[in-house]
Amino acid sequence: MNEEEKALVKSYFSPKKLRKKQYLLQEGDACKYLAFVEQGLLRSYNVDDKAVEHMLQFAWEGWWISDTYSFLSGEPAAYNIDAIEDAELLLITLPHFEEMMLQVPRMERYFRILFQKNIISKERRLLSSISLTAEEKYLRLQHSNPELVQRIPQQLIASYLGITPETLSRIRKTIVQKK
Amino acid sequence: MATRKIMAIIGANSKIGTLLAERMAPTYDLLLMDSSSDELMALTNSIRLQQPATNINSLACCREASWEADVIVVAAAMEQLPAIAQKIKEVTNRKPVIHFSPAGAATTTLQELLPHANVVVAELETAASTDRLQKVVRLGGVDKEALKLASEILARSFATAL
Repeated sequence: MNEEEKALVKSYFSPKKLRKKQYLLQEGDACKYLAFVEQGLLRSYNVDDKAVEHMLQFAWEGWWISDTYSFLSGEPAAYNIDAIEDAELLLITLPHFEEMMLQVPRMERYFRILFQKNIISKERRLLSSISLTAEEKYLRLQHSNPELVQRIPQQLIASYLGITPETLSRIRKTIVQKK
Repeated sequence: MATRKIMAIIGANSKIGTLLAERMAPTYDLLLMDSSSDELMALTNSIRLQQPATNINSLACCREASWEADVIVVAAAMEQLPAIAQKIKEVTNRKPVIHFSPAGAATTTLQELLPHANVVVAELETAASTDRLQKVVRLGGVDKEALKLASEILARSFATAL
C-alpha cells in the first residue's frame, strides 16, 4: 500500500479507547462497528437465561471483532463485546467499510482473505466442539493459541471450550502430572 | 439494553460546558476537561453529589478524553482552538465534535482544523453579559448524523434554559 492509500484507509477509522470491563457492544443494540484491536484484549459472548456466559471469540492485537450479523444487517446484536484488558481500537461503520473497499481494492482483497481464514477457523472450532473430548479441546487450543491460554483468565477459557472451570482445572492438573 | 455513550466536554468550566455536563449526566458517561483543575474538581464533585448514579470523571488531557469519547463537545475560548485541535486531531476521526462558538466569531472553523471529524458548530448569541446563559442561534455542519445528535443534545440541554 502506498502512503496515499494508507492515509485514505486510516481516514475511515475512528480511534477509540476502551477501559477494562467497558462494553463496545451490548446484546440487543445494533452493532454499528467492526473493530480492529491495536492494543489490549476483548471478548464476545452471550449470556443465557441462567446468567451463564458463553464465550464466542477473543480478540487481541491485530485481530478484528464484531457481531457480524448485526453489523451487516443492522438487526439487534446477539452478543456482548467488552474489554478484558484496557484496549485501543480502530472502529469502522458499514457505510465507511463499503466505501473503503471501493476506494482501496487492496483492502477488499485483505478482507476476502481474512474472511476465508475466519470461515476455516470457525469450521474447525465447530468440529472440535462436537467431536473432541474436553482434554483434546484444551490441548488443541493450547497448541494453536499458546498466547491465548497464557493471557486469558481460566474461567473464560473454560467457557470458550464449553466446559466448567472445575473440569478445566482437572484437565490442567492431569496434563502437568503426565509431564 | 443500550450501551452508555461517553461524552468528553473540553472547556467544562465554561458556562455552556457546565450546563451541558449537568444536563447530560443522566444520559452519558462524562469525561470533563479544563485547564483549571480546582474548578473542574469542584464541578465534578457537585454533579456527583446531585446525581449520584452518574459516571463522571475529570481528565487533565483533552486528547485522552477525546480518545475514549464517542461524542466530543468543545466549549473553550476561541484562541485555544488551534492548540486543542492539534491535540485531539488524531483521535476524533469520524467522531461527532460539537463546537460552541459565539455567533460570527469563527474565522478558522474547527472543521478546517479537524478535517476528518464530523464537526457541528453551535453558534451562540453574542450576549453582552457573560453571566447569563446564552442561546444557540444556528447549527451548522456537514455530517447528518452529527447534526441530528447535536440538535438532540441541545433540545435536552437548553429546553429550560433558553
